[in-house]
Formats: sequence, C-alpha cells, structure tokens
Amino acid sequence: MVETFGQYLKRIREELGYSTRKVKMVTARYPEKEQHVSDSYLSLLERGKVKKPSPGKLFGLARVYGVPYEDLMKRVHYLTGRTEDLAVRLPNNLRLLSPRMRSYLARIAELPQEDQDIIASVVEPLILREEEELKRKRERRRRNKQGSSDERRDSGA
Amino acid sequence: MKEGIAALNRFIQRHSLHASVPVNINALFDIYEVRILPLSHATLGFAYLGPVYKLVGLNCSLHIYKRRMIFCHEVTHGILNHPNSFHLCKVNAWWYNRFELEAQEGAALMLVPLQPALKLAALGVSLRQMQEHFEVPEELVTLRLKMARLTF
Repeated sequence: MVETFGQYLKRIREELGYSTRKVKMVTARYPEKEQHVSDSYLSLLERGKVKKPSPGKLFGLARVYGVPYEDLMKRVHYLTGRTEDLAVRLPNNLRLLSPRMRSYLARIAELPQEDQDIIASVVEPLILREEEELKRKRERRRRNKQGSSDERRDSGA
Repeated sequence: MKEGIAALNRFIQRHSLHASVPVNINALFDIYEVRILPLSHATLGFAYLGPVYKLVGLNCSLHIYKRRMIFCHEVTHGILNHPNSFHLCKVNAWWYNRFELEAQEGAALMLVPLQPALKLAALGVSLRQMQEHFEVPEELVTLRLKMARLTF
C-alpha cells in the first residue's frame, strides 16, 4: 500500500521518538511564526484531515525532522516539473519562503503541466531578477546610511 | 470594496481611461508588460505584480474583448493591493473568492463607463450591442449594470 503524506510524517516523527507536543515546542522556538506547527494541527496532518499544509508549515516540519524541504513539497504536490527544478536551483530553501516565491509556487501547482512550463519560463526569471535588484538596492541604502553616519562621526570629532 | 472603488476611480482618472468609448487601455501598457502566450484552455491569464516588475500574461486563444477583460481583471488585483504578488485567472473561477470577485468588478468599472452604459440601457440597446460598443464580453456589461443596480 502506498504511504500517504500523513502516514509518512507520523513514521518520521515516531522514528525520531518525538511526540506531537515535542514538535510543537521545537517549532515554537522558530522566529518565523508561519513555521510553528501546533500538536493539534500535526495530528490533523498525520490523520490526513489536512491535505495541503502551507509551505511555511512544511519548512518548519522539515527543520524539526531533518528531512529535505523539497521532499515534503513534492509529497504534497507543491513542486512539479519546472517548479521542482526551481527549488533545486535556488541558492537556499529560505528563499522559497519569500512571500513572492511562496505565492507563485503555491498557485502555479494548480495548473496543467504545459501551462506551468510556459508561465515558469516567463515569471521565474522575473522574480529572480527582481529579488537580486531589491537586494542590491537594500545594500546600497545600507552603505549610504553607514557612509552618512561615518561622516557625522568624523565632523563631530 | 468602498475604498477599493475609490482607488479604482482614482486610477481611471489618472490614466483618463473613460475619456473615450470603447475604453482605450494603451496607457497601461507603459506600466504593465503584456505577454500573449499559448496557454491551455484552463488558464485565461495570470499576473506577476512585484515591487519592481509588473507583468500580465494572457491566453492567445482568447477573443480580444476577453483579453481586455482579463488584463483589467489582473491589473485590479494590483490596484486593490490584494495579497500575493502572483495571481492566476482560471476558466470560470471569478466567484471562488472575494479577491477574484473584486478584481472582476474592477474590470467592469474600468471597461464599462457607467454614464454611456446607462444611456444605452435607457435607449433599450441589447446586451450584445453594448458588448460591441464597449468591446468587452457580455458578462462584463451585465456585471457593470448589476453593480449599478440595474438588471437586464
């Protein structure tokens, strides 16, 4: 019989010897609220009552269980075809959790594969380029701020 | 939606969208990049509305009236600051959440100016003729009249 996503989660948790409460306590320590997984929610997941948890919750679980995030994403069909490639290509998993990328990945998975491929070829480079640009802008602003505070210090001295 | 309508009206005024009938949306192509793509029948269009890039993708198999509607639908998501920067427009899915419904109402506000529509309605012009007049699908004319509490 094919193992369901809930059964898979339960198996890993039991192999690690964790209780649902322990998982809740560990994830509660993460600064990102979206990665917190309550014991009742985990129980729903394991019983198959919740079929598609948010990518944030999956990331939280991947951190606790020490399993690849992409693996969990694939099991709930967030990643298919090109989006799967994208997840592997990205420099780190956290990047997937940026709101832009998260909303894109969650929505694109609803589409037929051929549409996913077409949209991905247009949108993915745009998101990546935009994130690079925003990063550069932030760095420039930080440098300018640092420069002006250094100037103030020098003039004060 | 009250605040949303105000924001949409400001947008319409800023770009002089209602200066002519049918509404000329060419001015918006400076802000939103448009790609006409060979998508399947299940996907009408999509939009990526990020802080830097704004792109609207439209299904190439759609009639021009429908393309205008989907474009304005996607643009409305951005004007109304709907959550998420990626929006998807699937076939027959206007009603599946509040945001899609608002976006569709926004498209109706943009593409069907009320006064000309009321004038035509008073003259007893059919929906099909109104569709040709505004260059939008019939469903959008119906929605606009419904929003103005008029029914056909």
